[in-house]
Amino acid sequence: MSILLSFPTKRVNVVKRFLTNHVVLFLVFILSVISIASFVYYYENGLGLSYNDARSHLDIGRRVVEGLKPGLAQIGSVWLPLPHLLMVPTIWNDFMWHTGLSGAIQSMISFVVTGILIYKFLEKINVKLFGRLVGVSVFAANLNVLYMQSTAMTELLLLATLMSGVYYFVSWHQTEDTLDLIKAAFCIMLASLIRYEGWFLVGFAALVFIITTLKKRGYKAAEGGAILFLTLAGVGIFLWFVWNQLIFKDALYFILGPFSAHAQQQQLADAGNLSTKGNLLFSLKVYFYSLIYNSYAFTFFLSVIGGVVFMFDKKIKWSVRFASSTFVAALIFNILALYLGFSVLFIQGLSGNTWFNVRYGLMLMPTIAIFIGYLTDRFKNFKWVIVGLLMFVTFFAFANGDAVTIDDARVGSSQKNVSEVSGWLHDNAFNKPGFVLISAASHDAIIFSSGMPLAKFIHEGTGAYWESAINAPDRWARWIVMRTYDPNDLTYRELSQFDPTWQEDYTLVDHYPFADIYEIKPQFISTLNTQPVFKNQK
Amino acid sequence: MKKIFPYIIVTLVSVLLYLFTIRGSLGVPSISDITPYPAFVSGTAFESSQEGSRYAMVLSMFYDHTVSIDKYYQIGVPDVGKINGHFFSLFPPGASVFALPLYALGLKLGATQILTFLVSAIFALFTILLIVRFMRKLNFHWTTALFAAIAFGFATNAWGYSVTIVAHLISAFCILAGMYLVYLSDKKWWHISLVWFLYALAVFVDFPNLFIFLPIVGLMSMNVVEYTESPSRAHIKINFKYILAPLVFLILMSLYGYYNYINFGSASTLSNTLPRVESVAAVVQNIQHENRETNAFNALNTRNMLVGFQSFLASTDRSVFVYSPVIILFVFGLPFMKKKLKDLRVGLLAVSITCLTLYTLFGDPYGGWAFGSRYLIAIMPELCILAAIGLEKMKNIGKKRYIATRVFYSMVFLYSAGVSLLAPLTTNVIPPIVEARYIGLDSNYIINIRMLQNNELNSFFYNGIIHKTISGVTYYGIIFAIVGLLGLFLIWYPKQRQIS
Repeated sequence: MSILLSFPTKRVNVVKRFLTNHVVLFLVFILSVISIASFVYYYENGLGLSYNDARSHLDIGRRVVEGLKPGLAQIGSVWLPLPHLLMVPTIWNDFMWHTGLSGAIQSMISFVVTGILIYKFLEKINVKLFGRLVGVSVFAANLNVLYMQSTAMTELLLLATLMSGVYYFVSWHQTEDTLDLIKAAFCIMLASLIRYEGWFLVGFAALVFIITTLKKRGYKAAEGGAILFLTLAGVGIFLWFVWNQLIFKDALYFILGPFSAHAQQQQLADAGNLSTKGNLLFSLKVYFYSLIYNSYAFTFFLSVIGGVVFMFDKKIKWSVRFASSTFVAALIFNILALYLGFSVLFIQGLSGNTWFNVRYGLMLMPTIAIFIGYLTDRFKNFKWVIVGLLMFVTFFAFANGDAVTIDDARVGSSQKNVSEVSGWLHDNAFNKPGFVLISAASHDAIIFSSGMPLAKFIHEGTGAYWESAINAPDRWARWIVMRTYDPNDLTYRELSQFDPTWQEDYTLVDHYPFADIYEIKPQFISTLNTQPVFKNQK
Repeated sequence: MKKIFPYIIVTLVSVLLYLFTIRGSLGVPSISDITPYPAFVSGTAFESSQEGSRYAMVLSMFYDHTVSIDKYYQIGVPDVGKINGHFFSLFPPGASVFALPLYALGLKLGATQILTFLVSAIFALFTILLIVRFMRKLNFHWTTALFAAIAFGFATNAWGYSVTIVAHLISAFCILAGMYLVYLSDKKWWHISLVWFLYALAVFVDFPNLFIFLPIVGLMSMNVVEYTESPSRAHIKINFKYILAPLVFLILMSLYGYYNYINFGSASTLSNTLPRVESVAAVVQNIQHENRETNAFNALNTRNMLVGFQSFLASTDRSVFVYSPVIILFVFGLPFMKKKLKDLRVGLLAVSITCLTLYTLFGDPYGGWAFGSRYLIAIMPELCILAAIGLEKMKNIGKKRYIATRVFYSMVFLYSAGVSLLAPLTTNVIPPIVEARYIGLDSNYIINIRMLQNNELNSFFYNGIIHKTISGVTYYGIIFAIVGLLGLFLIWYPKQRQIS
């Protein structure tokens, strides 16, 4: 009971060759389609801009080109600058700004790039086509990855730069071609301008480089190579210090300034909410939980097996295996950051009943994908079992919409439903003359969600407008948005200090969980400045 | 005679051990006997709604010729659903259907409960015999074959569930039988059809088998297309027997769909998705329960996996390391399965990992109040086979290492058997730690030991015949000595045959 079909082998080989030669092109196409479809899906269902931080990122980019005091200085110091700089070419467009596409497009491109890099890395370690495709699929079929690539967040851009840095770094260990080392340093430098994981990778990769070069080629080569590598890889970090010195008159402003992560963590620590600080075991637990929730437990455990087998695979040069340890630099960094109290991550059930920053666990997704692709290739007999189970798990992840990053954005501490305040502003302030006095550091999400032009807002980054409005609000601010009596709200703090009687001139028009809205009393409207008068501010 | 000797030995030992441990008492219990209201208690034949719900279906099918359990729902609550004014067991009907002739026999002998509960023991015995057959077919020594069989039957928590009416043992048999046909038969058309038949049967017994069995039919069906290449021609051979055989499954599933349609109003409505009857009081007071929107998609959630893995592998209340560590010895078998055993290794592991992964997706990986990881019983025969293969193959790695291995096997086997014996003699109903901590109970086999010390045994043989002669602990000691000595004999017996 069978039939036999027969073809000339030559013709079969032609088809095979064509497919093999164009597989990267196919992948780019497929990944691009997935990427665009995901963006549209999350945009349509309104989740695309759920992260409070996504709206802040977009506003920072927009302030460079629009507002009362546009310019590069608006990049600020809260976050590293590259994602906002990359927004500049598109963020001027209202559609790109308000859909979040200006920020998401870099995540989307990064998604495609990371997928291709996973493929290329697996190719580099001689994994056959099937294993390579499995690796890419593990990455591309992860709901958390798909969601984050559809938002104006920095995760995917970081993954792409980290991954490309590690890819060229490992390449150098295979080929010893200096150009690969330069490419690695450049990509890592880019990563260092996105998030502090990049900074750690600069040091970690340099250390790995020194160890492998010392062993292979001696001290002089190690010294020379390290200088070459660090000069380029470290230039981003150096420039960031210079930037802070130039703009904020303090090279360490991003570390110790009032809006730094350190200052925020200190507040959490004071409130007893930084339970990972000083507790290495709990830090490990919290970070591993975030890894597992982001990648799904089965996938994670499978990748651990793949990682162990990879590290002991004698078919791969030891230096390549050792260099690949840079894949886990983000893991070490995040655990250290939690332990030292530089970072905060809440896992529901472990740290109270909420999520916060659980997306940090996404940092190892390319690594997980690579190890699984490798495992599939190494254990050929089990490849269909592995693929079957991955499909099984992925099916249920999709069926249940299991994306912990979305939960964090929707109901965790990373969300901020400011629609009431922003809605009020949109309905009552959009078409009336006058400025809104507000702290961007505290209320960027409100500014974004109001849909009003940034030139309508006087915030701490508007120089003379801010200083004038703080001293004489009744001359500048038709509306004031603040968390009254909260000293962390810069507007409240400064107004209380410089004009303690300001409330006499204003009426509290509405009160919401995230902010209160004050409107100037009608008798003062005639004396209000409603036009931007300070031109060419430095 | 020499060929059937291992089968005779294992049958005699198994029958003896099941006789010593079978649950319950003589007689034909009425519903009021079965329902020690207001709650089920440990140490009785009907410890939980697991037994009650299935038994209710047996009664209903026998006396009223229907699967709705309107007259008997009280003994199945809360594993009972209500739809269109009728009560149904939330479980699929397979186990109850298999138990039906045993109930009829029990009625003639005046021991309906004991005979009905034998359904699991019978399938456990079938599985044990099939394990022996499996190993012998692979040319392993008879003591190796018996070790695998005894390890499954009497050194895992399968024992506790072999003396009551549940689906796990029937599932275990169907899965192993499917595995046997796929890897050790000639793969004639009827072998392949039988595999699909077993698949349907397994689903009829327990819904999760739809997924657990999938690797067996999946790996088998990879033979549908065979690709070969010569320098001049490439050939694709399409085997129709693999394409047509699934029709058996489709026909049986259609019948199952019809069964659902007749009883629940829709072919796709499974009994476990019916609106649950939370309590008898709710029925008496006519409290309407909202329809549970339960389906396979929201019952299985990847968010549960971490807790699931933790429960199955690293908890004190359910993990296989604590309750059935003998199956962990499977790792010793893996490195030795090369050449012709390579494909078999894939199959054995695929089913096991699928089962583990599937149940980690459950919101309740603990299996409710249970003894060990009862969900994994279905794939324990496969793991015991791998463990036994390891035992025999290790003899080739050097004398000292082999002795060390056998010492290790002995220790693990004895511990595993010692723990496993506690359940059939006392109770399967141990709360998971997540519940126990709130109600001040223990959540592991300490409960069983305490019951044993207090002579609160659940064995028909002990309670009915010898409870005045010896204490529960002594009874336990005697049975443990039988299993332990047998296990040690099988582990240490010299295995001379060389396996390729």
